[in-house]
Amino acid sequence: MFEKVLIANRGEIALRIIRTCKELGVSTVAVHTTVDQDSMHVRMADEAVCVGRPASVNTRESYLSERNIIAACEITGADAIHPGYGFLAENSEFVEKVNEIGIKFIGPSAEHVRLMGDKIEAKSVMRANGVPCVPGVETGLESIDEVHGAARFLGYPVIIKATAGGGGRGMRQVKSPTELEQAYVQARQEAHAGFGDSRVYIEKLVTNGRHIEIQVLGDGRGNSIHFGERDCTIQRRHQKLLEETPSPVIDSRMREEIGEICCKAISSLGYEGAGTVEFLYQSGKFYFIEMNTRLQVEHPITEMVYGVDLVEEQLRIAYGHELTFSQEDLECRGHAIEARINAETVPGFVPCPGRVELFHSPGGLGVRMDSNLYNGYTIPPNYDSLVGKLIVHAVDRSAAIARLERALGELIVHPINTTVPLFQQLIRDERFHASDYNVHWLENWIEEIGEKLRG
Amino acid sequence: MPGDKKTLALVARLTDVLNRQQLDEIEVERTRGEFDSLRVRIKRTKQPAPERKPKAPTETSSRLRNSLLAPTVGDSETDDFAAGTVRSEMVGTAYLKASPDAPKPFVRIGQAVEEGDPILIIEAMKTMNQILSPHSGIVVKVLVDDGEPVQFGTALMVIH
Repeated sequence: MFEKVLIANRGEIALRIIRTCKELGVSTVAVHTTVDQDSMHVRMADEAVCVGRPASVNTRESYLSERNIIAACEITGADAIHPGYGFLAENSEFVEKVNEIGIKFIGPSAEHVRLMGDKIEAKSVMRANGVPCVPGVETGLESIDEVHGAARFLGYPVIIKATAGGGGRGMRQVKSPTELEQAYVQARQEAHAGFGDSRVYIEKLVTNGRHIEIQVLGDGRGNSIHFGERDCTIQRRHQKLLEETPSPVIDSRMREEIGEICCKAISSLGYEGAGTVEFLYQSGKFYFIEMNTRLQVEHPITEMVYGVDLVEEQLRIAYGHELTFSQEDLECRGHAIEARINAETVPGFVPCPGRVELFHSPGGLGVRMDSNLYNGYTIPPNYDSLVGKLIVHAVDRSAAIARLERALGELIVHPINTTVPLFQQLIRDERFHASDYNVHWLENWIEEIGEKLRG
Repeated sequence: MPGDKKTLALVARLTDVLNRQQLDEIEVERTRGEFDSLRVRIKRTKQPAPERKPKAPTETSSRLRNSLLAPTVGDSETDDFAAGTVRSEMVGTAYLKASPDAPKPFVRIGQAVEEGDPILIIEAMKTMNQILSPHSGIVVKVLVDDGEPVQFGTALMVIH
């Protein structure tokens, strides 16, 4: 196993990785910025290196500083880097640099990171490997006439997306031909401003889908396994808030089918490490959206129902071991739900940084709290507002919901506002219990319920 | 029969080996007669569980406790730095000389430097980065040793 792993991340995910490293007897190096020197990940790691000030919008300082992070490996003698999620996790140039210098990047090859980062190329490779995709037109969209032709061919409504994009920027939904030209021009402008690349593509709009994603692991030598799906349909502006597994709308036959399709595709690529194949799911059909070549925020729910440590598997695969499990070994037991505890004031989701005077973590049977909070910790305003993930595991969905409600009641992050009131309202809603919703449902629900969410 | 007892003991021992070594199968074929023969075949399809050598838990918990009891440092950028302190903007290894066999370091205590004069080198990613004095003055302190690793914010020298 590796001797020493540097974790190029912060917050709860850095802690998550440090914990597995400790259990494996692997030494850990934390990196941090000047505002994060009191963070839990710095306290828990064996060593810590300050890599800069918090990044301002246009700089590549601190957690994004490739040079400082690689140099931190050099001065501490770390033999591998775990990137966590975000920051440098899906930067193929970074992967290349790290591997070139003789440090192992815990994740897929630079080539696979690059491939999946290019949304169009990813789609065409996955399609060629038998993965169902949203019907779309990716090339020959240089003139408005060609765009009209493509939209007619696909059938309205359609969506225009930036080739280099992500996160909702450069995206335009178009319901009828009269809206098309304006949407096309705006999407190109936004794509150019946001990503320095004005290329766009057009897809049939899957309007009322659910977000279903398949967790996969590949050993880099053509073997792979899947860990079923996660249902991440409860989201706001493309930000997931609550995830669960198994999905209330997927049965075991469908799970096996789509899982096998994903495994076949990543096996043929020779994919190494953990990955997530994301789909929109509507009326019994899966439509590939993208593949994330990293550990996901919501990975713990999969760990709970399958009884595996995905970070341990990542480390073992990166070290050159074979897969620990065969597909037959894996069985989904019970139901798990994750609620993302963000330091935000609902219903507006305004960030609420500040000093935590009192933190109390819920506990008891089937409760897991992955959080970097502690009494007296100051949540800095510089980063993502995710401060914890409350994960519950129970025999079935209704038991898991009851457990989540119980655990939410035990969680205290005083005096910081969090997303807890949102979940408390949500899990009392009949429509949530009936799991009758799509990816847009939560936004409408928040508008509807509005004031009830305050405090 | 005494032979049965022996066989049972052998099976028990083999089971123990099977479990401890995480094997799937052990096949033993023993023929007694004019020519005794013994054939053993072992099979393992599963990977052995990873070796775990966690550090002493008491060490971890006392370190964590001490760290949480210590007053928080806060944002160092608001701290009042001694005037004239030159801090590292990079992570890497500091070198006080231009090369290992250079006869003397870039600067010595008591030496006058101009703004822009090289004062040391920081190596990062196999690249030597010359660090220039941010202001003119006299070198009062050299706070790092030759070959010492430095982080972002490490105090390198004091130049008044």
